[in-house]
Amino acid sequence: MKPSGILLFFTSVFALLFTGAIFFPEHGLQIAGKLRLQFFSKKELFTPEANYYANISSILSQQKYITDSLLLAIADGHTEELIIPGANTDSLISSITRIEYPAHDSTVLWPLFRSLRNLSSSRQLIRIMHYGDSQIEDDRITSLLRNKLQSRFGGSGAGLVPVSQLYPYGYSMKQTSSANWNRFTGFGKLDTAIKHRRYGTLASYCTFAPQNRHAEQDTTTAWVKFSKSPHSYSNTKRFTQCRVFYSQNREPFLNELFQDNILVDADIVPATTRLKVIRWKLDAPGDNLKLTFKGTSSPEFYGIALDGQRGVAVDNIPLRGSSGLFFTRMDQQLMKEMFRELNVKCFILQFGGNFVPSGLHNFDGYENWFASQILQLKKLCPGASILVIGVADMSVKEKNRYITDPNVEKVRDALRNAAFNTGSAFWDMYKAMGGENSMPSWVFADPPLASGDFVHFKPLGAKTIAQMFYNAFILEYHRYENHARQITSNP
Amino acid sequence: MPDYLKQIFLFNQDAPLIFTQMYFWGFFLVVLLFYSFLYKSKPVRNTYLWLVSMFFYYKTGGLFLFILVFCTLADFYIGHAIYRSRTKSGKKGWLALSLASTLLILAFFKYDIFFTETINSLFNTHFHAVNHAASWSNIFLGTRFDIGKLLPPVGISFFTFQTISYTVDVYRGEIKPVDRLTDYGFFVSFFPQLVAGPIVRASQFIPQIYRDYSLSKEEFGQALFMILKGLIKKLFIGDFIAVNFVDRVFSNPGSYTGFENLMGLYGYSLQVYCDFSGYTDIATGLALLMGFRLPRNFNSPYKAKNVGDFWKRWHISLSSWLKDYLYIPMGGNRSASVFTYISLSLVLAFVVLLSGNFLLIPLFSGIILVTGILMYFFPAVRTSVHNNINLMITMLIGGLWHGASWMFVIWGGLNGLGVVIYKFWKKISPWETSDHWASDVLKIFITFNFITFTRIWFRAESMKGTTDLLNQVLFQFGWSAVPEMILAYRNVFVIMILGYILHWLSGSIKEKSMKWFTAIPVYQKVIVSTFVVFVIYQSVSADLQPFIYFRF
Repeated sequence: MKPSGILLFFTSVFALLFTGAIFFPEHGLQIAGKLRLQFFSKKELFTPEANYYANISSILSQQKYITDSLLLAIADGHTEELIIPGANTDSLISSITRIEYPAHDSTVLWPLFRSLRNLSSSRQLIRIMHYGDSQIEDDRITSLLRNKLQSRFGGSGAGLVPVSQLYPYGYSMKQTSSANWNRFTGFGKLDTAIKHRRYGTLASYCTFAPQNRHAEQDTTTAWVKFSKSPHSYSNTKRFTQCRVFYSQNREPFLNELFQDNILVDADIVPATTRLKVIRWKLDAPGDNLKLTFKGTSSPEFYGIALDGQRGVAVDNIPLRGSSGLFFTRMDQQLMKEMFRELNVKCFILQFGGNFVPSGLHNFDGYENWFASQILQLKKLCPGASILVIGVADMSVKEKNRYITDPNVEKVRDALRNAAFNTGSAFWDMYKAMGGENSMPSWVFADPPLASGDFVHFKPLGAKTIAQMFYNAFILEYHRYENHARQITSNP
Repeated sequence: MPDYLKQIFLFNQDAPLIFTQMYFWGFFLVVLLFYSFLYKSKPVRNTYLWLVSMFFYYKTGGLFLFILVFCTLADFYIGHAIYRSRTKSGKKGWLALSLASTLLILAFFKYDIFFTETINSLFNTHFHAVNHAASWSNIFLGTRFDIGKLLPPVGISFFTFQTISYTVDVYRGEIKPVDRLTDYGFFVSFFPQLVAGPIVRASQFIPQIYRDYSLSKEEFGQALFMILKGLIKKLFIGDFIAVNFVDRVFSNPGSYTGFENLMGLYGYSLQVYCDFSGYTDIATGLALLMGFRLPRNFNSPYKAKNVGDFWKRWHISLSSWLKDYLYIPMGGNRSASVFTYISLSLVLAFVVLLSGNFLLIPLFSGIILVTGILMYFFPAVRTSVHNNINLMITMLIGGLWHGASWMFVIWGGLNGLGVVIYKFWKKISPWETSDHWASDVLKIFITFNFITFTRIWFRAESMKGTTDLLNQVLFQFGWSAVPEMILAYRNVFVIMILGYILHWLSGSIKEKSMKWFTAIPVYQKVIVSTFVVFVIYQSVSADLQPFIYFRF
């Protein structure tokens, strides 16, 4: 066989493929049900894959130049004086995806900013609750935001966590618990055996024993242990306050607290049907903290808060599979009491990802439904600011390329409308990522910033997007502070 | 320069030239076109193939081409210098220069970040690993590489191993140095095997450079069959399960059930084989079409009956390279040599630096001292240490060769232990000589599962990833959701089962299908090949597996 013969062979295969590309229907050939045959288009044959995806290199490279002093200067309106070596100030400023407000009313978040600013003079502990779907699991996004805010405004600890976690929670803190905990969730598929709606602010509660046993029956012991994570920020590790939220214990139970494996406190907790809080002040956080519970019947545990005595606490509340439509479904009195006890000043709601692949084309229903959740939160926690974070880009495949799911922008718009119609602020994560077809660029970045499902961020990507969000947030804070300063100096 | 010309001729880091890109086949067509005029004259042919290989390398690795050219030039002239040296010490000196320069380049690009970070943490300095080639290119060529990131030049491990084998073989007197630079350049950079192997030995390849072009009809059929087989492995199986399942599980193991993690691990074992051996199949087929025979690199590795057997079947050209240029020179399974202790110190130094804990030095010294004393007083200990130490070191270096991280140390160490334990076990195993099918199945099953288990440390993205994965498999298996998960991932699982069945299929069926393909007329080969591409495209264009997080 001569090389010319081989050449002829390959040319023939190419010719056949090219002919196929000309005559094959562009959107494929539907055969039986969902099965669709696809073939190259001429365009595909000649365009390299990378050219289809959003170019995010400038978005990523500019992040390192955006510093607090730049954000201050932008807030002050003095950017013309800024000279940043190696970067263009105007393009840096335009690379910050700003927080959007209803009717351009930039005072929407001021109540929160006021509370944050007052922290320097008050000894309060205020709280921001970051609710989201699986996108924020394992403290992704929240952890960086928490650390930034705590470094700036004071505060420590990982915030409110469930007694038993769904997954090996280990980024901010290593949490392990005994195997006898049962977890009940107030979102997704509900357990039909549960006849009440007391799920608490984490939308889930845990029990360690049946709830209807009597004192003469066997006792059960359960435990939960928190230890330092090597991945965590130092602020997160340094909590000095531990609070356990519970109710509905028919029988008293024994509660013990161990710090570095030494028993530091033990108490018999009396029976109650109301929301109660067990609290400990800790001088130093230690390497590990273990709580044990012993009793015949278990209370409902709504969470454990590990915070500082003052400053800001930021909770990570990931609700796998949720679209954020559960607030109205839960026991309102319990939620209200918990929000009050936790002194919540802001809710960050980051949902929508689970609604994108819903098969719907119209999202008006979702918009209204989501708006009703915000209104309910406002009712339960008057005075708290609400900030909605829109969906991230999500890809579907079109032949061999990844394209933005056609529903992403619709869901983003629905969330923005819901926020604006209820007087809440909105941050467009999709735009911040680079907009259309940006997810593949995050997935294919080196090192990768998003997971191979083209939906979730990887830890590094989550840090990047969290930094972008923090930049947008703190820029607004500076603007508020600027304004507040002027008012104080020119009363 | 117009954009389309830029796309064709200039390096673009987002679009490297790889076998699975349409562009590559256009490139190959053009190469063939000129080849059909030039193939008769050997010097012209070799020079031509060297030049197109350099273009191929430039399109894949950009300006790292200079590294390739440097290695080529250096070792070509050093090879001659070794050959001409009259004295043993002269030969040794030149060989040392060649090894030092090649290994320094390899170390610089593979371990720079590790060394920089180690120095920073030891001496509290703040050095940054800077990619000088990239910053040079940014300044003079207007490119926009990230200079903070030092990606090793594409295929550096492969071509440096080839040049080392060349100079060592010349030193040992096993081959004569190549006369023409172009011939040597061609040997080092022949494009089908340049970036992912197989690693070609000078003694196997160089004689082919001086032979006339020849390709029988059977070989033509075999070459095409290899290419199609490789494309199916890489694209239809490997990429499909990676994109739709394996990658996502490994990027967040804690978010998936133990069942999904376990399936992800089995999926990865298949994927890594399909990717790697598929790529090698294509390389072998392409080389054969141009008249060059590359060595076999994979031999149904998951049919191995013990860990040692596995390493004789997996990436054979690397395993045999390590055997001939590391394991045997250290003394093989007979005794430890000075080279053994140098290698051992290097590995231990790496481990100490990785841990950043200098207390390990007295610990290691203590272990070595105790072992030394035991070896002195107990001949049995001495024999087993001598028989196995070189093997363990080879496996550990094989691990570290993949990168400076704990995970590769563990991976290499586990594989070394696997081989050593088997060596002891086979002495007492009652089934060692059994040829009963059940005994074979059991041996294959155990070996396959052990190899798959060690891959946790090879594939996981971090140490936390490995513990998350193990934690999920052991404690969060999600039994209740298994039927639901199988149903949801049915496409992925069907392809996985198909892949494993094809792998474990008897060799004679594969042989028969190759014979059939080789025998059919050329026009039918055209039709079959087009059809295979069409089928592969169905897998490439299949809808993305929607993300589902099972609650458990």
